[in-house]
Amino acid sequence: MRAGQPKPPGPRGLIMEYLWLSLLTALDLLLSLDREVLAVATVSVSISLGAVMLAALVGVPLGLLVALVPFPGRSFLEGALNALMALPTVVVGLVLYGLLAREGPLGEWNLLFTRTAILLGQFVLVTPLIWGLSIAAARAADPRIDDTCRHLGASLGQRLWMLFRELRYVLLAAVIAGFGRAISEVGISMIVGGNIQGYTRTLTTAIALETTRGEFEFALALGIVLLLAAASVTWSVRRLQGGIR
Amino acid sequence: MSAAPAFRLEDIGFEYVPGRPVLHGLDLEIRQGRVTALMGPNGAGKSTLLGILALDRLPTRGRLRAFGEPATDERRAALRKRIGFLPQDAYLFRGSALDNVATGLRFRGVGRRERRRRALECLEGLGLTAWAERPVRDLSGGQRQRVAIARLLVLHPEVLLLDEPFAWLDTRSSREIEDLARGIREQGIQTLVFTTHDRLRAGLLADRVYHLESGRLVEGERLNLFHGVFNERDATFDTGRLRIHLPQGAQGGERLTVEPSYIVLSLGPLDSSMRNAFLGRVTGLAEEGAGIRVTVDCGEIFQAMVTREALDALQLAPGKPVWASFKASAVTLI
Repeated sequence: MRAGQPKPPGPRGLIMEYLWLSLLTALDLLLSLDREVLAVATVSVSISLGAVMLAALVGVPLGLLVALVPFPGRSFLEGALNALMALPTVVVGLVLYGLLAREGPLGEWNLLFTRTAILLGQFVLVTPLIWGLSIAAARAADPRIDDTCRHLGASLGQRLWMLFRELRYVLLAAVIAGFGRAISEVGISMIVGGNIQGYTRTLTTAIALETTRGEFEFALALGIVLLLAAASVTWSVRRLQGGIR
Repeated sequence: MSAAPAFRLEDIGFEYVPGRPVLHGLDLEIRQGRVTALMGPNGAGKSTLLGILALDRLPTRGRLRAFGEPATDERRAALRKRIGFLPQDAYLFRGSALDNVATGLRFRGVGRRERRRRALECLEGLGLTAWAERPVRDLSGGQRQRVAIARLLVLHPEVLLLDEPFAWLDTRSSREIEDLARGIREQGIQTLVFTTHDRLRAGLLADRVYHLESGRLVEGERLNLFHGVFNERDATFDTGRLRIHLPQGAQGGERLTVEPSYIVLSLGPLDSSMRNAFLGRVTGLAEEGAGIRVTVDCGEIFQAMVTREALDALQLAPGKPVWASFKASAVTLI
């Protein structure tokens, strides 16, 4: 190496340069309102929000109900839910693919490679998580909440509602955890969504695609956009609920 | 024909853990329109009994009738609507005092405007109007307790069950609850049952006082009750702080009582046959009937009953050293 020639960056310098470049690209994508990126982000957020809202409508009341009302097989159900919380996304994707494929039992619905298919898959993925976390929240709650309701003559529905009211912030955290799991999954979106540009391409499938193309900076920039999208949604939800002061 | 008692308990027992009863064969009747106090030391089973009266739990033994009906699992929900129960550490829901008081009315399907009117009226009765719209988290312990009571009163239950309603309360809040108990007693419409450690309050407010000890009803409250280990060899009882001499031939037991009127107080050790003599310090004086109850801390707390003359002669006052002496025969092992 000749004197005066700039020293080439070492491996650490290369990584820093890569991260910096990715961040700049992400900012550029966001600030320039790149139409394709915005479309992909919108698809991701809307599908995941839809799936999580449905999962919350099912999982939260069921979670509170299971925690309040003893019935035979309750501990088995809780064990099953705990196992399903760690459900691999590709497994959900594969099973759903089998069901929705043209030859499958639900093939007539023509849902394969649609946004609805992704939404369905994410709903299946997230419901056990929200359900299980809701049971855990109700179990950890002050037992006096339900005792007080019973002493005041509340019906089961009223007890559930009061428990929901008292635990709303903890339950919201469960729903946000569900949203985080839904928006970050790639297996379901890839298998039943098909990564169709402008239709079923989500941020995660786009990242996978850009990585296979060798566009690492762009892929990481999309990752940053994904992170920002997830953060802004969870922040907005908490803000709406008055949880942030 | 007289009305059925609010509660009739026959041979009631209760076990949280099978084989370890906390209530043993209780027989008692709580009459409608009366104020009843349940007294006893910690762990005597007062709160468990109150929980049974609240139909929070059904007895594991015996027969319980509420308002003349057998209290069964099937009837529990309907009977419970006639009972208002305030546990020791009542829970207040998020929101304002008004929201809390209106909650029970909402459960009963009362419309928004009507429940607001009734809740405000009830809060006013307990001197909480100024706090009605305040979040309950901003209220003091006494105010919170009064909100919890208002939440029960607004429902006009036939029976009010209050677990230690005077615990941790300031003077004003205690007075409000005392007034409430007096009002109930005078009107004779509602039935009130409360637990307390305070003999004076129980005596003042209640028509009937039941004393519980280790899950059993006892005649009157036992003073000078000590737990410890019986030593048969030298006929003594070791409380961990004092060794008390027992009469020869005493049979074993885990608890011991000394009748307060048998304790002799003196400024110096007495030259007598009394085998138990402990030096202590006066920590309290209270009028009780025609006599004075003197509390003496000798390592264990003794309550002694003395006459006014004896009090004047000894010039007893808090902090004064004094000897408490009693014969071995004044001791009863349980």
